[in-house]
Amino acid sequence: MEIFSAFFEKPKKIRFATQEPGERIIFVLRKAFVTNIPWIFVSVLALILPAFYMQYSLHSSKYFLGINRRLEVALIVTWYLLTLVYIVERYITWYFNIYIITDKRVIDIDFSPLFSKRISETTYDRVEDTSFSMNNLFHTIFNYGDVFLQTAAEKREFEFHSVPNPSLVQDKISDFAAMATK
Amino acid sequence: MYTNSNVTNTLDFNNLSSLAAMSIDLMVLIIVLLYIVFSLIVVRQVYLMSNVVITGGNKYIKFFAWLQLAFSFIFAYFILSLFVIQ
Repeated sequence: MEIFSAFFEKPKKIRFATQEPGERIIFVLRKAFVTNIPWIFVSVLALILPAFYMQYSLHSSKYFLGINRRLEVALIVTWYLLTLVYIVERYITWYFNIYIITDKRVIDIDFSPLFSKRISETTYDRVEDTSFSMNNLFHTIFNYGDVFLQTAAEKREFEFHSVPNPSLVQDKISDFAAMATK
Repeated sequence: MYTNSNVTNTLDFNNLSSLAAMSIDLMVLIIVLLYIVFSLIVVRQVYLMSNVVITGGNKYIKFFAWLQLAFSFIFAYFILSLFVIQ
């Protein structure tokens, strides 16, 4: 499923607004889907927690913590709305935070659903150094990590956080940078 | 004469001041309104971002954003009928 994928190699159906004629997309990356597990876990907990409370509340003649039924409904509604906002915010942020690697440049799209978007890019002739890191057990098991680009541009460092196949991505960027500086 | 028998552990809105009851209604109303605003922002941002990066999955995200907006209005109606139009 495309809406849950984090790694696209030479995608045919993906384009971006500032794509130049003849510019080919090599990779489109998001954070590895496994990085979503903590907030998904929290969301599932948040969704089922009121059910436990309601189970107690329905079978009890006394109100829990002395809460009136009207206030009880208000609190549950508020709880579910905040949970929904949290889920939507987390998912949309993950979905639209994209790294694009083309044969001409590297583009980093930072997106926040409530506030802003920021697009940074650099061409390969400005890339001075590339590296990647896989720091912990999860990174190794699920094959994701961070890729770093040192550039001579205004934005000194590009950091691709928790992207899948970091060694492949770093290798490809390194190849393009080497070709650009020849 | 004040007696302890009048005191219960349960908060009862009949005994609460109408101001307290109203403030709870108002709080829920504000939260639902903020949720509608959030849903509108999500729709707008999804459309903005869909123009920046065009992928096959965008149509699903747009549908989801509209669905959420529709849900927020249905929810608002439900809450209004529950809390305000009583």
